[in-house]
Amino acid sequence: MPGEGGLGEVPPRRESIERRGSRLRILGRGFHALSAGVAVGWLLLVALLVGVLAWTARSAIRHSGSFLLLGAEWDPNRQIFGAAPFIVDTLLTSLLALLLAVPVALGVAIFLSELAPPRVRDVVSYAVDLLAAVPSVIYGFWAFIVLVPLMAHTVEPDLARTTGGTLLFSGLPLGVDLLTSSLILAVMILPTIAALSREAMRAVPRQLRESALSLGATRWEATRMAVLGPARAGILGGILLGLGRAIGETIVVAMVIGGGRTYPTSLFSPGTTLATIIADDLTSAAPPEVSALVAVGLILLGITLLVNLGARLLIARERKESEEEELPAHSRPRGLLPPPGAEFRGFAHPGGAGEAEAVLAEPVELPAWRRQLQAQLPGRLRRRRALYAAVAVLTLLCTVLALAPLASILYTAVQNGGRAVVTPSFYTDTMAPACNPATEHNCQLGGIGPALQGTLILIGLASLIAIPIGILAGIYLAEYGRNRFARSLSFLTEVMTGIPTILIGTFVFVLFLAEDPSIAASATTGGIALSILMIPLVTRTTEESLRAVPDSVRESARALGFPRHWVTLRVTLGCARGGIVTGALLAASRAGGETAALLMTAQGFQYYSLGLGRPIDSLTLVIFTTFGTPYPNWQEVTWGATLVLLLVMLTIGLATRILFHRHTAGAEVT
Amino acid sequence: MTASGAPAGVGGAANPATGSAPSGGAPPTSPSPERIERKRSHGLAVVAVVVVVVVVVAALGAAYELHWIGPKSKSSPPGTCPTGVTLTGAGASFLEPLMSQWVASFDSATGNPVSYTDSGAGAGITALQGPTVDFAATDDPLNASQIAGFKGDPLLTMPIAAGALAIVYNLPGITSPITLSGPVLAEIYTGAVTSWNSSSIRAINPGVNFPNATIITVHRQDAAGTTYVLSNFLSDDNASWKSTEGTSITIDWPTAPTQRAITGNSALAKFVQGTADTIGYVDLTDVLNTPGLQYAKVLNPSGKAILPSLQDAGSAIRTMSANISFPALNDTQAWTTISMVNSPAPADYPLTTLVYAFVYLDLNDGYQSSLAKSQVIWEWLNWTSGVGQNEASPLYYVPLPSVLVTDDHQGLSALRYDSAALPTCS
Amino acid sequence: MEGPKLQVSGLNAYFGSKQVLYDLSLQFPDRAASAIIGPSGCGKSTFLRCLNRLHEEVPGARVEGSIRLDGQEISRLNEVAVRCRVGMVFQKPTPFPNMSIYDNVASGLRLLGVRSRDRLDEAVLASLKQAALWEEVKGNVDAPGIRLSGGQQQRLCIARALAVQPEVLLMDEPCSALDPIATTKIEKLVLELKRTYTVIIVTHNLAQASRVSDHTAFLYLGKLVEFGPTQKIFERPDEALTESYVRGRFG
Repeated sequence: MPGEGGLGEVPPRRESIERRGSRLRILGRGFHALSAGVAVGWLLLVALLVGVLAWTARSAIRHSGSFLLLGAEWDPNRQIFGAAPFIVDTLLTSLLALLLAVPVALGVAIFLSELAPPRVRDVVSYAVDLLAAVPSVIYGFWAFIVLVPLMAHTVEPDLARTTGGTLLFSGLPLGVDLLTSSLILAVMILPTIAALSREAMRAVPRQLRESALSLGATRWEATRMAVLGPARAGILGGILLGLGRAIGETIVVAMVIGGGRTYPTSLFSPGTTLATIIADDLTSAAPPEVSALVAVGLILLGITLLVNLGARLLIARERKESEEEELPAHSRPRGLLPPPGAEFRGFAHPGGAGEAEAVLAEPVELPAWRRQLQAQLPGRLRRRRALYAAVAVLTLLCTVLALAPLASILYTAVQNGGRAVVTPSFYTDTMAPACNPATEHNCQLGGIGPALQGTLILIGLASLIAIPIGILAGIYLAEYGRNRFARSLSFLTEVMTGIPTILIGTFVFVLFLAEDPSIAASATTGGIALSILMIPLVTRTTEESLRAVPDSVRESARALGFPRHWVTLRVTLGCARGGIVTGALLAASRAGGETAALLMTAQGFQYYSLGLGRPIDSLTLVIFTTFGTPYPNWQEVTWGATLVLLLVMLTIGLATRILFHRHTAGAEVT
Repeated sequence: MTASGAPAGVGGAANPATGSAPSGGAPPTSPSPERIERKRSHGLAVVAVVVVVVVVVAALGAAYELHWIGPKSKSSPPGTCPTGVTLTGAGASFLEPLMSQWVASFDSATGNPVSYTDSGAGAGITALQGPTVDFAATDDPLNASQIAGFKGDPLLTMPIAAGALAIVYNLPGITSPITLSGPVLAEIYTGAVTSWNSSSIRAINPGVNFPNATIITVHRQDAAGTTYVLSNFLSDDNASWKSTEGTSITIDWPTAPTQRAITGNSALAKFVQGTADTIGYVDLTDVLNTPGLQYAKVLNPSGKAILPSLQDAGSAIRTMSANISFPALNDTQAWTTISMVNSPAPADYPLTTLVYAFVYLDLNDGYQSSLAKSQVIWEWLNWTSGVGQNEASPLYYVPLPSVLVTDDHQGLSALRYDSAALPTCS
Repeated sequence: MEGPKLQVSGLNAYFGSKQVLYDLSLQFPDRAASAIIGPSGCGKSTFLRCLNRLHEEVPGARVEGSIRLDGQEISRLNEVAVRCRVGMVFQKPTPFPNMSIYDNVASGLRLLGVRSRDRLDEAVLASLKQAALWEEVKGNVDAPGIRLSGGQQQRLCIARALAVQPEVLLMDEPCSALDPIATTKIEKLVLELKRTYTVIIVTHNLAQASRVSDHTAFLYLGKLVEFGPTQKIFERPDEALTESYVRGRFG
């Protein structure tokens, strides 16, 4: 009978619990080892990447030395490689993009977290997330076709007129220049900053806002006093993440920056950033230039590293200052309480006298001006409420401004590609021959069949590799990593989210070229390159989702008798499931929108895939290579591909919201 | 006061009307006989389905790779060419429209698909160096460093088409084409001439009313065959250009304050068309396909101002082909200096070029090489230089003159496989 | 004694379609402390938040009935004006994390437009003294507010609320997050404050209510069961339900 046993007899139920417990322990420890192994493997991969790149760059570094950083001429024919103007242009465009994006992003964040009614808030934040998911090749396409003419014909001439065409706005306003590049970068980093700022604001405890309101603040004043301050750390994090993204953005900037190779003289000057010189020249470069371009990539990586380092330090300092540490009453914070003896006297009887310290409130004589304050209130209040209304309108304007590019992109894509998208053969046909309606009367639309298949295969392959690795690494960092190794790896992962993707493609291509050239350009290398892109994203979102699970959950599970590793596997992971899956989906969609990493690896292919060892096409490659073509049927296919890609992003975003309700802000990191 | 008779259940409910309440310690009554309804989570199921679909698709790709499924390369009777072999090529984007027609026709004629990626002239050569493609196509011959990149493996350099470069510009007030020349273009692109109504330009355009506007020079940001053609043309009669900038697919462009670099042939055309006072260079095919794009007459060595067209470009190619003694196809080094610009005949357009295809001379050195594939490569090159030429003019490309067609077919016999002569097929 | 400071008549409160307060009517006298007691979830905090119109922060919240401050209907006044006169202290101490002690206390005054450094100094000193915190922080008012202990933070919040010279001070379970020593100090503070202000304190601690308040209201499931002088409520309540509760038979 259960529970009934003599001295030497273990009741069967208890014995099976013990057996089960030890089995769980073994399983748990095995899992710990596995995740640690994966984390180490990830670190080794990053080290390999940096190593291969450094190895490729060594001849240029030896040959040019500091001229790379300080020289101002880039002539591959004479092997002169000086990237100083590129460094200047990179910093200039990124910082200007930040300057333009941050106020608007904050406005959007404030609108979403404080002012918007719930339904509006849901729709708008979904739209902002969609803005973040638009692939860069589409932004580049749109920027060249819509933004550049707008800048060249309207905005820049107006700017030149109002400033008299001096200093920052001197030179001819042609639309392809540093200003437009900064603007499109601002559009691209805005959703990241807005989403992270909003999360930071939402994380501020509700009661802080209510305290401010109870003091008689208007809603704007309450936000200013009680929300923006504590949210500063998160907002700063978002801003720096945006900066990192701006620094490494390649494809879009290459299309609109105008290719100037000297120091800029105004915002209307054309320029070249560190990322765009790589994009321009790498695929056609001879080995000396390849080496120099990879060296430039390392400079870029170095700048990204510095930005992230600065971000970490700043945020850590902010967190320390604003952290709400509930100190127990009998501990002593620095210099503010009287020495211990006077403080703790055991539990005093309620209502009893016995304390000798002067803690009694003193009746105070209040000056007349304080009483007068109330009388002055109505007038002041009108002004304050007017300020609140103005701020509300301003944030609404910011939101509209932020979403305008998305509306424009969608509108243009639907207008030009709408017909293709509703034609069934569009999804199965290969590209048709270029068709000039003047000479051909038998023009075929063609289709994106191979590109669609290629995108799916590449995403599938990349996800198969990246998602398990990313989740395991994220679990390790969140659950088991309390040591220096884990902290460094976490930091490194964050840096890797900002690496220019063309470098990832270069790394994989160079590695395979040395090993097995026949598959250097194939679906395999394309998938591997995309997976390297995805792993840091999945790792970060997994880590954050797990960290968001409160310790009380873990403790309750432990109290039920589960061994530690089992708790992680079953309980914590289960709680974080939504965030993890969302993060994985968003990383996959990010991979689907990638172009630069595929230029050399997947290479592009006009037919349905012949296997993982052969080149393969993707929607992004089609858009990138065919954009601007004068042939109407190819134009329509390009726009159709754009629209399909946008619709896929839209659907994934919608699906993750509906299925998982909330997702971590870190998932928008792209 | 004691509890009322209301059952407690989960979280005892009091009857508000009577204001009484159950006591806090009332024991739970027996559960009602309903079943516990569990809601299944849909989210993970959907994701699982998607993952399965993706894995299946990827697995299919892998199966293709292992030849477990997919079209079997049929073994053909000896002497007939293999079918079902896919070739891959990369190179100049200028060639892409013609290629797209060629591959369709070739596939229906021979059953072999060809995939051409327009990654750019330089990128095509890099891909061939890998090798990650079967052939490359450019509108410029290889330079020394590109040849060096092949690490001694000999190549076959084969002209497969010809083309012309148009100088495009945007001067809204001027309706008929303006005239430009090599020296004037060199002055414009070096910044010696900065305004449209400068004396150099007016000298060769009598009677044209130019605006007093700064010339905005536009060039290619990425490596481009068109850049090669222009720089070749400018080097041809301009010694200072030749020594400073030279001839290449990538030039260290002289700094002019109002210059812009655009990525891509078509994008450059679009930019010039949309921005006033610009000047740029685009291949003739794209220009003829872009209504409304202004393009200039160019002075040829006879002093005539020629507006580019298929006729005068074709004529120039024919003239030059008759005058030049082309090297053997397997002598890649010698092709480096072959230049088709500045044809001497009076009616010829001076900015012309050949378009080349490159393959490894010994096709065993090639990408995923096999005898069957090598035979198809031969078939492809033979076809493009032969039957394929008929498809050039309708697409605004200049066909090869017959002398080059003959050269090509003879030169193809130099192709080898594994150091032995390539057994050809028909 | 003048009329009641705060007069509530027929107050019904709803969250969406769910009613949470049923027809509450009571009067809070001036310069006295009134406690609101009752089991958890009975609407005490909701009721308190209606008194300074903080319920409006919850979407879908709605009240009917009348709440008069000195005879003026607060729903007709500007809510900012109401909150200047009816201050609130919350359960968990909420000093503004990025502000110093000084700035925390001065924040309400700055909202009102006080800029003069002298006046702010004066007011901050007075408020800190009123909240019995001055002695403990006087060397260090520029230190961050969150470095204080829990009890000190709560007194800081009280000082902050007092700085704007409210007439009524609402306290929502102010001691529930504090240790017994800090609780004692806060209770002593309330005893002192009620001489100047109208204090309304929600508490689930019956002993505290009996120590601190002059009047007590017993709320149960959103309805007012009984309101009267504290001594009466605890020793000889009219309602049997009240007696059950104060005797600890439930809740």
